[in-house]
Amino acid sequence: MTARRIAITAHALANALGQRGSEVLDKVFSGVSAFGPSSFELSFAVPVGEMHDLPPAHELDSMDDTRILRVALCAARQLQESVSATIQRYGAERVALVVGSCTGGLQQTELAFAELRQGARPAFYDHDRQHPLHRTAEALAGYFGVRGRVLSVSTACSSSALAMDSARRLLRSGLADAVVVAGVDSLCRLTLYGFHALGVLSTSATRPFAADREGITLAEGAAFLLLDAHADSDVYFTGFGCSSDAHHLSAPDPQGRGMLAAMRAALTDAGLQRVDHVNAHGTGTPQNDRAESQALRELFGAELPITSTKSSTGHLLGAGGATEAIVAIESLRRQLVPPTIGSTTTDAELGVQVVRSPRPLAMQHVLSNSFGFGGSNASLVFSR
Amino acid sequence: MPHSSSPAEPGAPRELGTLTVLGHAFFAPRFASVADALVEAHRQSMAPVFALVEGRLRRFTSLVTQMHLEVAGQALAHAGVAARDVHPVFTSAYGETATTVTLLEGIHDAHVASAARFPQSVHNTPSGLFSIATGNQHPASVLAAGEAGFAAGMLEALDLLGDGKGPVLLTAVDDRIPSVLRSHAPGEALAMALVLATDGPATAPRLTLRSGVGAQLPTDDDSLAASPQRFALRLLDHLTRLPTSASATDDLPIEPVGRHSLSVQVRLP
Repeated sequence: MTARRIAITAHALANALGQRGSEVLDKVFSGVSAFGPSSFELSFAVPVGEMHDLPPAHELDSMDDTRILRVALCAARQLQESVSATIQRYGAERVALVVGSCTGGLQQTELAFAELRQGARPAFYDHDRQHPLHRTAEALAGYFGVRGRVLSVSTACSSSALAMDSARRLLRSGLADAVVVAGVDSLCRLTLYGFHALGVLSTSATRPFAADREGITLAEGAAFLLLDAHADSDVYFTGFGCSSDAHHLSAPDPQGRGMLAAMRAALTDAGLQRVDHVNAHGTGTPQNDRAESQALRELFGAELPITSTKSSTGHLLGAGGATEAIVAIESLRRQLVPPTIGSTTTDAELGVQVVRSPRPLAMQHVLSNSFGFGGSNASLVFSR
Repeated sequence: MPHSSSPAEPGAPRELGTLTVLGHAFFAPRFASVADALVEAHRQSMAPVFALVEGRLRRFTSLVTQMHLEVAGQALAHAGVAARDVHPVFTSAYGETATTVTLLEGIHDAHVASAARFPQSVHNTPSGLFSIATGNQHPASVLAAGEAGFAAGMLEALDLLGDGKGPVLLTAVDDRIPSVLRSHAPGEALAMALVLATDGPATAPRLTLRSGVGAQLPTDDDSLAASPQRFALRLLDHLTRLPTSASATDDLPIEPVGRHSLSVQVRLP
């Protein structure tokens, strides 16, 4: 195995579609969503992908029993055995952990905020322990028993895609033999109100690449991947590309130039000219889908099968990159392109081929896109 | 950096690589210099100029973002490197906490979030504005690792340079924690930046990164002890005192003593 091909030896998922990875993936590949009304106190009504009946984070200290860690542990528990075996093989100091997240423990601060503003300090709240981004990573490292380098990457909706690159760097530099990569975000009022203020929330389930698409459906979830520098696997992480739009903080470059640059860089990194399928960022906003389609057309032409599984999972913010990486990996394993649901027709102006029902396809390479606020663009390539 | 093809021995001190400092910068609203910060000699609070960003882009920016951009501009000028050419690595433990609090207040009071402020609540707001203001389209690394954030940034910089991607702009910035969230020891608002390369002028300081050494910082007073950027501050202190201080052969820690204990040896060629 060359230094550039990184084995994915295990993965785990949890989101509104289910708290077991197999359940989530079966629903994604068969074209099922789980959107419903939000239980958060809002002055508007939109569908969201909310996880219900979250088990408490009983394995952690009670002060770490926050929403984001409950979400994270739903997936982390599925990976524990694999991580333990990896730690046994290499030693805990040689296994690192990188988390991609946007919100960290923000929802915990929201719960406490009314009292905090009155000058009270609720017993359940500790800013330093719960709010900062790095606390999620530290708590997960403690849960797994990982004693290698621990860090968080936060570039909005591309966070866990960039976390994959940070993990790969740790492996290639010899600072770790294995890395647990996680993408985790929980719903919170701030993100719901914020995206609502920007006018990009869909009033009904998101419809990526459809002519009548309105916007995104926010969701929460966690995705974990175990990367191993020395193992063999049937699917490898083979390429990464990234760019900055240098255009706008919250809107993509309408020409998709930064997106194109990231995809090109990923292909170059993987030593490829083409891939067989793209798991698009596909948020369902008019702007993203138009810009991304332009970039996809320019790079791959109009016939490459693309899909947006955000139509099933919702927009998982920082967890999206890792979630869609797992879907890309499973697309290769199943030789099956998952569908984009929510609409049966694609906006003809976009000029791309969007897969609308599960499609068997012989695939060797899949590319997955994640683009975020601040113009952060990331593309990952996975190969059999 | 060499690529590993087999498991390495854990725990033993080892040298990871050497970086060249082309430029550095410091800003703190309440301190005129690194030396003043270390002895907590306060001044009347000053706002950053952050000249890299002009016009409407400056609106609604937080102090954290302004400080990132202030030291980025200063360090680039010190290094004589164009902003468009660097690979940025931005690190912060707490990020846009003040903007988050403002948004939470709006939601709590009026059930509304500011559409202008919300995009500036993400941890990568400074890197986004940096790229827009300067036209820099290189990928930006944006890291959060608490007190180990500066060390994580140094490792990222070392790896980027090893990949032929340089020079690297590394920022390490945090604001005080808003009193509504933490009533004690809010820390100090501190901002530092380095412009790093593989090679540089003969007079440029060299930083050799080492792991597993276990050096510790001297004990700081409360406000500095509560600041996650105190490790970067200590390194800047050494750089700003060169060449009058002796070249360090001792290891200067850049993260808390613990699993990996990353440290730096500073040398003048």
